[in-house]
This record gives sequence, C-alpha cells and structure tokens, in this order.
Amino acid sequence: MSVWFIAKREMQIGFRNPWSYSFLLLFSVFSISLLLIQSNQSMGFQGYTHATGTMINLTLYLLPMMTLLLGSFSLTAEKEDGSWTLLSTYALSSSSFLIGKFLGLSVVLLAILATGLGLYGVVGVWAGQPLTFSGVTAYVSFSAALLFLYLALAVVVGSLAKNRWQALTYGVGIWFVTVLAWPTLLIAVLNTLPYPVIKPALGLLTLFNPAELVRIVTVTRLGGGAVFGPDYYQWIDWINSQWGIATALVFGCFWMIGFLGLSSWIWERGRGRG
Amino acid sequence: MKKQPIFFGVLAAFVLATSVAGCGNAEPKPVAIDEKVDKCDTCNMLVHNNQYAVEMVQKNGKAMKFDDLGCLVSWTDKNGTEQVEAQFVRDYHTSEWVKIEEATYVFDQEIETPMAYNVISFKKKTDAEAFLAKHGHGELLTYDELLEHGWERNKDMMKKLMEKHKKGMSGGHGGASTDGQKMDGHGGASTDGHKTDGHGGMSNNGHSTGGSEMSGSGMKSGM
Amino acid sequence: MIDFAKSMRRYLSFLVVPALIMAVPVQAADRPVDVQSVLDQAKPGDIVRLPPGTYEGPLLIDKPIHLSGQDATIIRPVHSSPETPLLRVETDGATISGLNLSDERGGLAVRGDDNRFRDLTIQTKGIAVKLEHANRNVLQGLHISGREPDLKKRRNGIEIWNSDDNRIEDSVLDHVKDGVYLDNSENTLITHNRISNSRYAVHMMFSHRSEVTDNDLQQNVTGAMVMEDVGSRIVGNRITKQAGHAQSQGIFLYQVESAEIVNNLIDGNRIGLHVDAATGNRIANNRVTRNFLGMRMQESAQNQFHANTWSGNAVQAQAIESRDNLVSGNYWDDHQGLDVNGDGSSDLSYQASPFFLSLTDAVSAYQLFFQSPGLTVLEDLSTSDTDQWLHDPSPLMSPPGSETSEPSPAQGSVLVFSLLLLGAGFYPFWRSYRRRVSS
Repeated sequence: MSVWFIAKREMQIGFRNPWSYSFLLLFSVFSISLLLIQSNQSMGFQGYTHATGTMINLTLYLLPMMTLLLGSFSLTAEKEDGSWTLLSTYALSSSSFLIGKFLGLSVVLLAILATGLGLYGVVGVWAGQPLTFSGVTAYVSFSAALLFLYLALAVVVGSLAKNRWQALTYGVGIWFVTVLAWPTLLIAVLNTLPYPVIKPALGLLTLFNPAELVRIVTVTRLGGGAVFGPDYYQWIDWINSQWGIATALVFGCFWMIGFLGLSSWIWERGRGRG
Repeated sequence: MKKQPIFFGVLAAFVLATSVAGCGNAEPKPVAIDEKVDKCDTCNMLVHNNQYAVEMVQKNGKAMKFDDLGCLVSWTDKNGTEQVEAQFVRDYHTSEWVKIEEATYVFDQEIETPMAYNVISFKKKTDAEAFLAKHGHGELLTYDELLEHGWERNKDMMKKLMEKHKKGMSGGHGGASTDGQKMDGHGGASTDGHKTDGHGGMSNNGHSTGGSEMSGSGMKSGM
Repeated sequence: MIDFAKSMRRYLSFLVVPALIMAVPVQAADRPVDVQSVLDQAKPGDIVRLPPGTYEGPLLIDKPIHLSGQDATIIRPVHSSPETPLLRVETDGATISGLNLSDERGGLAVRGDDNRFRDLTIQTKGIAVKLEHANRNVLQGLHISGREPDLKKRRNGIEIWNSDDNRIEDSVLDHVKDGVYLDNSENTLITHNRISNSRYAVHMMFSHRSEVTDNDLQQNVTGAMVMEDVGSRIVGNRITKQAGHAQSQGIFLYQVESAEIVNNLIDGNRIGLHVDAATGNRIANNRVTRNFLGMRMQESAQNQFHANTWSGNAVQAQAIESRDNLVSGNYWDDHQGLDVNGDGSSDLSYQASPFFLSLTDAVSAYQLFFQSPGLTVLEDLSTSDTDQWLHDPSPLMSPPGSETSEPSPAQGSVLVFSLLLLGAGFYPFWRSYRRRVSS
C-alpha cells in the first residue's frame, strides 16, 4: 500500500519536475535528430546495419545518462529538501519507499521515452522513412531495457549520494565506465590475464554492464549475432532461441531486485545513523 | 561507486583461479576442436575434427587450430616459433592428440589431406611402418626429418603434371586417373568418412585402380 | 507406325542420326523393368525413353545414347548391395534428361566428355553429382536438394575433380554441403544458378579461369569460397544473407590472383568481402550493402578497388598487413566528403582504421566489442601510422550508377503505434502542466 502511495507521489512530483521537462525536450530533439542523421537510405531498424548500429550507439550515449541523473536526483532531493525526514516518521520501510520511488520514476522515464520514440515514429512516417513495426518495437524494447537496468543503478547512486552534486559525480562516473571507457578499461585489465581466461572474464564482466549487455542482446535479436564471432556462438544461439527473451527478463528481474535490495540496505544504514 | 568492489572482487577471483589453474597444469593441453565454428588459422576453412586436424598452443595459452599439418607449418614458417608452447598432431587411426615431437610421419603424394600437403601422423612408429608397408610407397619421417621436409604440395606437382600433360596431348584424360576419390569413406581405416571434405584427390600418379567408383568397397592404396 | 514416325521427327532435333528409338514398356510394379538390359541393347545414337514411373537402379550408360525420362524416377532397390551411384555415365557425348534420382547414397557420377544433362531432380544424402576426368559437359536445369539436416554430415551438390570446361547453368541447389565444389578443374562456367542453405555455395580450389556469373547465392555459410586460384571471374551475382554462421561471409578470396570481382550485389552478409593473401585482383562496381562488416582484408597487395558502393554496412572496412592496394573512386556512405572542384569525387580522402582488426586478431574474444560505443573513442586514440590504413584518395560524392533501392513505404501499424506511444508519453506531462496552470 505504501509502495503505491510513494509511487503515486513520485509520479506527481516527476511530471512537475523541471528536470523531467528538460529531459523530455532533449530526448524529443534527440529522436528527431536520429531521423535527420539517417535520412539517406534503407534505414529504420531493419536488421543490423550501419543505421541501426548508429542509433544504438547514440541512444547508449544519452539514455543511460538521462536515467542515472533523473533517478538519483529524485532520491537526493528527498534528502536535501527534508521530505524524507518527514516520511520516515511514518511506519514506512526503506524498501517499500525505494520500490515506490523506482516504480514512479519508471513511469516518468517511460513517458519521456514514449514521447521521444512516438515523435520518431510519427515524423519518420511523415518523412517517408521505411519504418517497420518490428523495427520500431525492437527499438522500444531496447530503450526500455536500458532504462530499467540503469534506473536500478540510479537508485543505488541516489541512496549513496548525500546531495545532488555527489549524485552527479557518481552518475557520470558510472556512465563513463559502462559506456564510454568500457572497451578501453577492459582491454587494459584483461590484457594482463592469461589468454584462456580473457573470454570468460570478459563475458562475466559484460553481465555487469547493462549498456553492453542490452546492446549485444539487441544486435543478436536483430540477426547480427554472428558479428561477435565464433567465441560467442553458444551465447548467440541461446539469445536467439525461444529461451532468449525469457532469460533476459529473468536476468533483468534479478538485476533490479539485487540493486534495489542493495540500495535499501544502504538507505537503512543511513536511516539508523540519522 | 558501489560497483567497484564487485568488479575488483570478480577480477581477484579470476586472477586467483587462473594462478591456481596455472600451477596445476604446467603441461599444455590441446583444446578440443569445435567443428561448428573452428576455422583453420592459415587457410580459413572450417576444421573437421578428424585425424588431419592439428593444433598449436601458444605461450599465452591461445590455441590455434589447423585443418592440415602443412597449414600449421606454414604458420610457424611465417610467424616463427617464439610464441609456440606446444604443437599437437593426431594419430592417424585413433585421432588421439600426440605431441608433434613424439609422432612419426608418413609422406606420400598419394595420401590425401585436406589442403593437399600429403603428410599424416602416427602415435606409434610401428603403426606408421605398417601403414607404409600396406600403402606400398612413401617416406617415413621422424620429427627431425619432418623439419627438413619440403612441403611441396601436390597442387604444385599437379600443376607441373598438367602443363606437361597439356603440352603432350590435347584434351582427353589419357591414362592418368586419380585414386581415392570414392564417394564413401574407405572401408578399412578408422574415423574418416571425410574423404571429399577436404581438398585431397590431387594425387595424379597414373595408377588406375577401381577408385573411380563412387563406392568404397575396399581400401585402396590411396588411403 | 505413325506415332513412331512422329516421335522420330521430334527427336531428330536432338540427335543427328538416331538409329532406333526404344521405349521401355511399363510393367506391373511387382515385376520391375530391367532398364539396364535395355540400355545395354541400345546402340550409339539411340534414344531410350522412360515413360513416367519408378525404375530400379543403379544404371550404367557406357555408350553415347540419349536417355530421356518423362518424369521417370530411379530408385535403388532395398536389397541392392553395391554402393555405386544411382546413375553412372562412362562415355562421351551422351544425353540424359528428365529423370528423378532419389537415393540415400549418391546420384550421378560422370567420367567422360561432351555429355549433356538436362532437367534432372536429385535428392540424396550422398554426393548428388560427381564429375571426374570429365570435360566439356553441360549440366542444365538440375534440381538438387540434400536430405541431411546436419551440416557436418552433408555431402556436396555438384563436385568436379580434375575436369575442364564444364558448364553448370539454370540449376537450383539447396541444403547440401558445398553447392558446387571445383577441385583442380579449370574454365568451369557456373551461371544462373540458385544455391542456398548450404556450407559454401561455390567452392573453388585450384580451379583457374573459371567463371561464376549471375548466380543467386543466399543464406549459406559462405557464398563464393575461392581458394588458391588464378584468373577466375565472379560477375553479376547476388550474394546475400550469408550471416547465420559465426564464420559467414559473402565472398572469400584466399591466395587468389588476377581475379575479377565485378558487378555483384553483396548484401546482408556477416562479412561482405573477405580478402586474405590475395594479390592483383580487380574488385569493381560491386554494391556492398548492409553487411555487418563490408570488407575485411589481410596480407593482401596490389588489388584494385574501384567504383564500388559501400553503404549501410555496420562497419565499412578493416584491413591489416596490406599494402599497395589501389583503392580509388568508391562511394562510402559514411564519408563526409567535400567536392570543391565539382568533379563528383571528394577532395577529402576516406580512411578505414585497422585498429579493431589488429585488436581481435590478437585476442579473438574482443570481437564482443564490435561497434561498442566506447570503441570509437579508443579508435580515435590510436591514429598513429595512418599510411598503413585502407585509404581512398578520391571517394565519390554519390553512388556510381543510378540504381537506388526504392524505399519500401512505412507500415500503417507503425504510425498507429507511434501515435499511441506519443499520446501515452505526452499526456501525463500535459495534464500535470494544465493542472498547474489552472491552479
């Protein structure tokens, strides 16, 4: 019950929050500029091509960052403006508070995402882009998956950070490590390991990077799995099999439960001290 | 960042695991061939897991796979052997992995191998000798002799033959017949069945057996 | 008699002097016709007709006759012991047409010159057609489908050993190991065939000066696998969707010299064009589109790449250890060109970084970083020694030729779905905004 209360409250705050409006604007502009970038030919989200690859990468630059900031700021705001102090006087567990926040934030972020992608589709059709239904749904699921996985991380960041500036630092840090510096860091670290260990180590570390994980699953589901070469064909066969989506969903649930659990532990610790 | 401890924990676990594993097997071991995706590191053909497939394990643990002993030799000729920790060949009859230094080799232009280098390997010298006795002709090579082997391919010999052949007579296929291109494996020997998988069949030595038949009712000298 | 004369005239067009036309009588199923004895009695030049029905093989044709089946099917009797192919042709100048060969072990084997094979349907787990020491034969209108689902156990569709000047045309091959396998067979012409769902659609080993033209090669592990070959031509083929296997590629050239790869459409493959240790080839006017990787080249020199269209490939090209290749006047769709003098080609050159290929060459596991967003950062960091890069000094501003794939119109469902998304996404913001304004 309290989860629902917090979620509803979060939505009310979220849809009024100037941050949400600026990200709504940013993401809409971004979606339309995607169309401009790929205005030349044979585009949309059909199969794994240059256009698809570019779209995936541009989205990976923006969406995780947006989610991390909006999510963590919402939590630090509770600490900064004292509303958590007020809320904590009620019989409200940290976990239901955070789950409520998570759900409310998901709705707000999904609304931003839906607006942007809807604009992309409408303007795309109007401009004569050869968009397909399966292509658009693939792009929607790719973005939504990114959103949920990064939002769980954002809640951890929001629980750790004392204020907005700390949250910003941590958020940018996570974005930098998982998106921008990922290959550079991993190659530097993995090259110190013996050759036979590199592949399993890379595979395991990839499980902890939502950006890479979602990208690889998306490319594979688009039919491009073979591009990752013979080392990964068993993974690719698995992702392409009937269990692929189910595995991804189960993994996503574990991810969210895990990181929400971690944040409520952190939050609880803070509460004890406070 | 909360993820750091996880990262480092995982890395530490791996380093530990590998160092333990590293101490455990000082002996390099051959890695099994995955027919579905493994390709020859020289000629890029998919590698069949048969008695011709060979392997090299590098010092860093990287396994390179080759569909023909000749392809492995052409890799070491080009890249040198500083990186090489161990090389493995197969026993012709059992396809068991044997260290390259410990095997005995038989070379003959009539022996088909996937890339037509015509050298096969045996774990036991007696098996090699028995094969040679049955086969009729060819050379028995030890590892040291193998290093001196010229690796001239049947293809080159074929080319020369063809040119001579073309100059000599126009068209027709004369008496030169190939051997061992039977569609079905050869009755006698072990796991093969891959006769036409590779690019053997280069043997052109003018000995006509019944080998032109698609059937493989008996073991012809070609194999 | 009249009938006889009629069919006589009809077949005169095929054979110069038919001595006799023999029609094999149809008999009850319990007493199988001995086709072989009819074939044995026939004299050179005869036409042997097989009316519709099922006959028992294996058969041997050892004189130049015309075996004309009218949708006749040849099978192997259950208890047949010798494992010879179902139909053996060991003569020069025979014609075989209109037969169905259905067998687990092997279809047609040919040893001899100047034979013609038309309209044969072959279904087998073994080798469908094998030519050995057979020159100037024509195989036309063959339908070959493999019956073995496991790729590793399949046999080749058509294999040709030590034979020159053969022609394979208008044939369809499906679910075999290699569609057409040439071993040491020069001057073979492979034209207007459709080969799909096989390992290598066309596999050439030491088969110089052969031609592969106007074929449709689709969904194989590799479209055209050309190995150790001189002077062959691959022209005007559609080589598409070789993308399902971790080692897939459209065209693979290994140690190939002086080949011409011209006017092909290479679309939707894992690697469009894979060039390894190849020298002095000419690769021109191809459309290399929507492949995961347009081209991969290593250890190759003195090849010419001209007027090709590279578009929609996730990554256009990677090349290492390759020098003195002449790359000029190609269209690269990701190139931001600048044409100052208006000659249609850019004054800014196009370059492809070899970074990723060197990286994965050393550690194949890093292939997982293919097109990872952070990789471009790393690529930009390592821009040393650009003189070894694949380099097009005069890239075209627009694709050569005018043919553009007409864009398929967007689906109506996309519009509906997008409107729904837009509505659902924007509505809460709008409502919240209205509330604030009104309060």
